[in-house]
Amino acid sequence: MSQAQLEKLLTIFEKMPTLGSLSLEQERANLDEGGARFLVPDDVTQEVIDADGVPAEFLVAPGAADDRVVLYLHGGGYVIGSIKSHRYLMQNISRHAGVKTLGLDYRLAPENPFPAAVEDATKAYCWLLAQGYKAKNIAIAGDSAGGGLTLATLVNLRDKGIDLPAAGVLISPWADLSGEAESVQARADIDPMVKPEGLYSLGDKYLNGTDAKNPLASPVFADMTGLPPLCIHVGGKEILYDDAITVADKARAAGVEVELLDEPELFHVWHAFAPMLDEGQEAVEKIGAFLQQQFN
Amino acid sequence: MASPESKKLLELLWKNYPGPSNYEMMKDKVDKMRANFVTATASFSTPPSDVTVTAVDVDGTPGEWLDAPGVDTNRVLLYLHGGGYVIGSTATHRGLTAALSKAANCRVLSLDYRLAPEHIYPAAVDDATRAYRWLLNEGIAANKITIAGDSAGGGLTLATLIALRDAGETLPAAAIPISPWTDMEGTGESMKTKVDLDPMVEPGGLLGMGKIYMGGGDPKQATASPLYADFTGLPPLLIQVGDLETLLDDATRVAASAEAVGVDTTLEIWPDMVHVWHLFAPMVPEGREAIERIGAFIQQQTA
Repeated sequence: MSQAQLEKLLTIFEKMPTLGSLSLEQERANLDEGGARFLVPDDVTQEVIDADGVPAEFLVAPGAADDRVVLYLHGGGYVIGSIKSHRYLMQNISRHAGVKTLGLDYRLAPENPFPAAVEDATKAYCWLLAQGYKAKNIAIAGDSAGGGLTLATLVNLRDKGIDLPAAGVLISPWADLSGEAESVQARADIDPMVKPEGLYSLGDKYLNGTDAKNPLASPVFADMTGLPPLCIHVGGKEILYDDAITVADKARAAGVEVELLDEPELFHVWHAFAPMLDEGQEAVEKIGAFLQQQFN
Repeated sequence: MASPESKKLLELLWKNYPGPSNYEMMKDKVDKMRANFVTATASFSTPPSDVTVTAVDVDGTPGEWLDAPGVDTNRVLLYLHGGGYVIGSTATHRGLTAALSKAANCRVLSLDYRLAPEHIYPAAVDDATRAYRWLLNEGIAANKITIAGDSAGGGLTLATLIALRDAGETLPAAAIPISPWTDMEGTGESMKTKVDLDPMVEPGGLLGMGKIYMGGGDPKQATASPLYADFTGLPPLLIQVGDLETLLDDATRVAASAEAVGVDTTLEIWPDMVHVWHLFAPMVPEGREAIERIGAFIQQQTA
């Protein structure tokens, strides 16, 4: 990584207000606007979709297989974020996995707390099946809260006896809402993006009184038996580091195939900064390669 | 070897780096961008008290005269400020224009040419060429006039020369494009290779301003992107650019084209310098040096 790229990003992070310090409306607008800094390339086709009542959007890069799709669940602590904030990342995955991406505007807290997000993600997956996409030609991916939601959705699908997708991709997943993971405090000083207080506040909004150890809210506590292969990416400079590592360990112990990328120098969802950071682009390309392999 | 002050400036600029931008983000925020630019330039835009600033109506375009004490009033530098054709004014650049009056020992006519999106291309070119003709009408000899500008104003300097040449006008004695923006579409290699070194000109934001300025017009027109111009017959050029700039290739490519058709071209690539480091002359010695060189060049060309 060029030191210059990293320093430039750090100066941008430094100026960002701490999550929780602005109004909800403002924070949502900021993340959407931040994401829109990276323009979706002209060669990408976008199609607005109603996925059984959940607003969604297909993003299709040139050459994507017509019958394969990644259901993408954006991050933002279950409270902020949208298709808009994550379009660049989603089309980047479409491009490198060679499949369509279906971005989802699942309902957000506090207006719609747990389990609204899990319900919407599950509904969108079933909608894809109903459209004729085969389970083996679908993967679910997400970052941060969307990474936790990806895992929760897989667990929920398994519990309901629905055909599971080919794979799951968890980018810097937030899978433990209890806030008890050691890294939340231990890595607070080196995480340039997520602070413990912000995390607690988001968790409270989403949980709305639900036990933080509910496996569909904090899938780190779920039994992972029978889940499809998982690709897990995490950076060392993350308070959520333990979430990824614990999920990887538990999944492997349950017999799930896990491909873990542990990047000591990187930060929360560095993939989102691919246009400015070589490692971000490389990580997206690794996800693309993982997905191609799982689909074949 | 960069001065300690210029290293400090670089740090300061990175601290204020706004991050990537694009047309969609910018198009409704022009007022805010203009206000931010005024704030950003505030500490450098005050002229020394011994330089007289006089507002002037330049055949319909607002402008101002900057007169350092005792300057030779027969010689004039027409100055075109930078700001992507969208922001900036005579006021944001007053520190620099005042310094140029001193260094070149001439009057400076700084022009508030019309800005986009209210006035898209070729409004700026029209205003600049009209200002030049107005100077001729005021009795200033062409061979005592020079034109200079920074960034968009540097591109506009070249565009103005081309428009004047094509109209058959007597050309000015010389011109000085400073860190010129000569390619509306940002096709230079340096747009990619310098992006992590340049805290000032971010490609997405630059292209956004280009789109605002062109308002749908063809960005390859010679007086929009002088990169594509034929430079035959242009007067001597002094082009200064910093080697940290995403716009480096805008300068080098233009210099090569001008040189190729026999224009007396001096290209100075300043090591470790940022976009229009001249603006920071009060802080950075390299800025003062560059202004001195421009001053000497003007005096020599208009002697």
